[in-house]
Amino acid sequence: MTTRWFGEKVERREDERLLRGAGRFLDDAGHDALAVAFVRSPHAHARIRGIDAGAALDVEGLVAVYTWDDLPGRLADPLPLLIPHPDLTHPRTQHALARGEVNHVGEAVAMVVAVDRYVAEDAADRVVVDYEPLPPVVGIDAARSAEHLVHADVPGNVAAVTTQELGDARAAIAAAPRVLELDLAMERSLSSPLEGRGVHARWDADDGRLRVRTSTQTSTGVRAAVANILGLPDVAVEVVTPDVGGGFGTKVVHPYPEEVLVPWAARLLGREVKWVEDRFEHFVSATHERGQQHHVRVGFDDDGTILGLQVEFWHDTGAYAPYGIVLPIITATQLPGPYRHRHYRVTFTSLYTNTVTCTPYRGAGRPQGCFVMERTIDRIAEHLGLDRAEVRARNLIGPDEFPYDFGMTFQDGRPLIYDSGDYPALLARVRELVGWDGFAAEREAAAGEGRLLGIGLACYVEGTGVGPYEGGHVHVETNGRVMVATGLTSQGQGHETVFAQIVADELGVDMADVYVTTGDTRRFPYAVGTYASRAAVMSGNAVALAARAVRAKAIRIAADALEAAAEDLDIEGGVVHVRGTPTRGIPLSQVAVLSNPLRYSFSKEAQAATQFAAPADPDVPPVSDGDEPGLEAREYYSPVRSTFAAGMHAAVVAVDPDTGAVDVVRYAVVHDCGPLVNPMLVEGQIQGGVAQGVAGALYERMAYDDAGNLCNASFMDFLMPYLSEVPTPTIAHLETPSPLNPLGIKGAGEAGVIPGSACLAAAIEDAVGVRIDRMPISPPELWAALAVRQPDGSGAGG
Amino acid sequence: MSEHAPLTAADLHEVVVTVNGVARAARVPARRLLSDLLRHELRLTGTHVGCEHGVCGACTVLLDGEPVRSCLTFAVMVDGARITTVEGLAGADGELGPVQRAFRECHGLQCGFCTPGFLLLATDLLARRPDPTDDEIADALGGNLCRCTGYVNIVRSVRRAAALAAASTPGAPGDPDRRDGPDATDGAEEAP
Amino acid sequence: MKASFPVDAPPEAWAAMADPNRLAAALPGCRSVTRGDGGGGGAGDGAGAGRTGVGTMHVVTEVAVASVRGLWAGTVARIDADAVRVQGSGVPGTVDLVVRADPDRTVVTVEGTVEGPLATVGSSVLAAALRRTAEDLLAAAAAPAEPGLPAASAAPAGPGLPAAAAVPAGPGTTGNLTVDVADTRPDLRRRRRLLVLAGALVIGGAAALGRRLVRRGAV
Repeated sequence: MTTRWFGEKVERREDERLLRGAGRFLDDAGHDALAVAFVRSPHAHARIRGIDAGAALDVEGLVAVYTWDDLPGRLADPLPLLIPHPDLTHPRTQHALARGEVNHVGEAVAMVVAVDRYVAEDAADRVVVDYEPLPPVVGIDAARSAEHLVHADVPGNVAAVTTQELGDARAAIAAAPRVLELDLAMERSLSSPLEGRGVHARWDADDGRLRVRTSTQTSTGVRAAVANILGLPDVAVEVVTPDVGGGFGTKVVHPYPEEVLVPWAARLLGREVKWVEDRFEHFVSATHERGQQHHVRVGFDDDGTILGLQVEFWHDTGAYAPYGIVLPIITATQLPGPYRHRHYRVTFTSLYTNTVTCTPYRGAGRPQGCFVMERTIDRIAEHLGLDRAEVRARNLIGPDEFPYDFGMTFQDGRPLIYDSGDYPALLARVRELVGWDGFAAEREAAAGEGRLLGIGLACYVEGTGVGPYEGGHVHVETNGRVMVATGLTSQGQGHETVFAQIVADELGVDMADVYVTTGDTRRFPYAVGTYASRAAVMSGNAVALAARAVRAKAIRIAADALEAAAEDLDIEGGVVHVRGTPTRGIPLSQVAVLSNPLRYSFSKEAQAATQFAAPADPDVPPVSDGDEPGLEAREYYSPVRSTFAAGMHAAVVAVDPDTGAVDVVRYAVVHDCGPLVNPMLVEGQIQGGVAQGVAGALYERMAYDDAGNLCNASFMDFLMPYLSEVPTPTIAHLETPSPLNPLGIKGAGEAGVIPGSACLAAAIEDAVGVRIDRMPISPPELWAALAVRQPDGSGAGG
Repeated sequence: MSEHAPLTAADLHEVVVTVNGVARAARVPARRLLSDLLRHELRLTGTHVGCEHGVCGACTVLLDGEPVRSCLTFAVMVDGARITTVEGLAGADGELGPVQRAFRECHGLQCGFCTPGFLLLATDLLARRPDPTDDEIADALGGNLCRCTGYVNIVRSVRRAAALAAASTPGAPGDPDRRDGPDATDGAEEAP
Repeated sequence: MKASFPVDAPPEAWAAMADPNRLAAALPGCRSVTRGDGGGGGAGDGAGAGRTGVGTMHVVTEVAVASVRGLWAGTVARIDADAVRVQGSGVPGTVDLVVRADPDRTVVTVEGTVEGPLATVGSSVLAAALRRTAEDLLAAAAAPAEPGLPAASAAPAGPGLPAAAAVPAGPGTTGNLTVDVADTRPDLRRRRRLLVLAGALVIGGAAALGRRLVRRGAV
């Protein structure tokens, strides 16, 4: 099969409507719906003694105020624990509306429904909640000390403790000639997509259908939750994901309280109900991530070869743990990076704090793991006086060592086995791209001009294409349109384009005739979701398999009609024809007519198709055993395990010693996600990821005070980068195909962000000789560190 | 004891605006934001609301030719004004304008939520400076947030838009409401 | 639903509520209040179901709670000395509630079922509306008396202001309020007026119990 679309920089189908302002985001529909506002806790930890809606009565346009007392059946139970784990001994999830206790500022206490959002907020302001404040637990140190508890029945604030091990790290370290210990930390951040969350629901009494639109990364997940919690049959609940203005992980946890409350209220009131969060709400009730502290012991030899690595870390899961311990498991299993470990032991403790719940944000634990591994290698190199790239090169898994089995369990519950890659080639390429080898001269020249330059490098391996499956449905209609559906969702990745490229190639049709729908449970009801850099791998392969099945069926039917052998047929431009004789063919639209024995001639194509109809065999039923009417197929792709992409970033920074400002002078990315379906889109993903990586290194943190108030809950104080803060990366690609899936592709969605903090920390440290072991680092912090710098590069107190 | 002060529906004020060349009217309370007027009363949902506190710029529209944040503007303040939203950027025949075509060519958008704001800023920039330098582009676009693209392709799109606009029309494209040409100096800053 | 709240009212308010005219005038949205005509009292469930029509009031009233508006009709029947049962239906919904006061008449509890639109406003709104109406009614009843028609002259419920939930009335019952002074049930003890609450409950209960106290006092 010659590919015409796969690998091409095809312009996106989505852009036509998005550029006209004709996108259909959550709040773009439902103008007549009732609006919702929530009364949210202003306390990080408190008991609720009473809720008085008296003053809200006088707000004209008020429809209802709901509290936990109003929630029926399972809606009154804690929300589901999405991902249980045997080591998650103390799982806690929130109630849809607080039941007697609140555990973070922003937790939903009461739901106000009114004629519009302005009125709903007026009413919400007037609902008086009588709180009895309790001592809050803020930050990992406070959680560990356990002087106070977040949940009274969770001793030590410990949700889980887990250990995974390869070999015997403690023995290996004890026997190693050299040992280093270090402490590394990353602060909390959040996804902060530009479009916040929203839910819009309508109960269609005529059809008995609860129609839900939600700005989510998983329609099928929300559907299952809504159906189960509201006690409705699956078939009665439809969830359609509209255009989504970014997800970045926070929209994959489900159900958010609002995702079950809004549909419930819509059904109860018999009215359309819509909730659209504002930015403050997003900061205090959409999930956060990244906060972790790590302690490392590493044993190595004089060459810098790692002999044993032991990591202990503490993960801040916030007030609740609906996502279980997936995040720290990812850190634990992705920390090893591209290096040849024989002895690695990792133990983590997941701790509750009185802050917003943590679930994945792009990278999902990998940025932390990468930061730890890369800072450790840098420290080894510094200790030995060796080049940092050289030490890495000595430890890299070689291209002939795949599959490389870590003997551990990955986030998908499957063995952690790297399937393919060429790490030495990546390293060589990134060194070249950033100018690693000639940097000493560059640094000297800059120093002569009074500029402090530094260079840093960071490597990562990323498990992508996490299972268990995705499905694809391809249907050639009698009008010639190829309708494709897959259940996972889109938040700007260009799925309508990428999947159309794949199907067009597999089927032999023009891309313009392929229409892709994602995230609509009516069109495809079995799916997992868009996260973990899995969509291209999972749904890409699923629609490819479905398209292949359709192709095979089309050829079979056409072979009959054309009285030719199947192996002599090709499909090009939507026409099935005899190879070498393009005039002897039959268009797919007519094949579609032929595929359905009930052939009404309702169009010219149908009439034309009848010329191919052979007389029916009276001894064979029109639809034979195992066959189905219609030119369509539904196939699933289910991987045996994840497939591992990899990459390396390198950066040159200039530090202003007078202000602590950091300027990213050069940023190089070498990236391997296997073959690229649409190179333009992959680059876009990397550029966006790099922006978030730089932001996480220099700007973004959640500023909680000791009382648990989020002090920077707005864009004024949470420093998302503008254009001027983001470098333009130079990007090079490597392609080591994955042996695990038919298309040979790997995921790319999170790659850009993973090594950002590690890379920039290394570069800053290289520039100014100050230990950077905690990210983000702001100019004042860097300036202060410079001010107390000791000759050996350590901070005050050595 | 709770207060019993009633909060009745506010008085409505009539607002008449010309949006994308079409006269529109609505009756809104004084506190209604322009972004809500456009999106809900006038059903022009292309203008998006990202923060409602004036930082992200997704809600940017052109008000009497100048970019403003519609989330920081009350609808009653714009009575009698001329507004351009993203829905007004396509040609009369429905063809995408040069700025829009450039963004599509250069993959200047991913989720599309911030895009209308950037399109209008770019339109305004090119109306004033048909051949902007990179500094001028950064200056014009540097106050709008994008979470998806990392801005690289947005900048490339604006450069490309300048080229497309120069190639397709003798004068600069731009906000049809602007009464001035590209060299106007009615208070607009000269680029450094 | 179940709601309870403290009550505190001066004797004049109670006395005023014993006057059906004053009561009807004080209840916003009320259309009519009629004495029960002896039809069978509430059967069965609930403690000491009220007997016969004596102490049964029929009320028709406009109701407004949050955005729920509409006409409602129902009955209030005494269960025992401390409680009345309110039943009835209308556009705002169907109600079957027991209104009970503690012996010291400092706390009132409302318990039972609410169905229909009123059941969708949320328990905190409903509880606040009940309490508000009771407070407003007592306050209005304490004001100087005005001659005139009951109910029909009452101002319609304002937007957002909870009017009386209808005292459930038997269907089709109309007529002016009358006072039954013939009740001589021997088990009645002298006690503080039972505070009646929101809507339905208020009129019939107060009227029913208020009459007793007036009569008692007169004896």
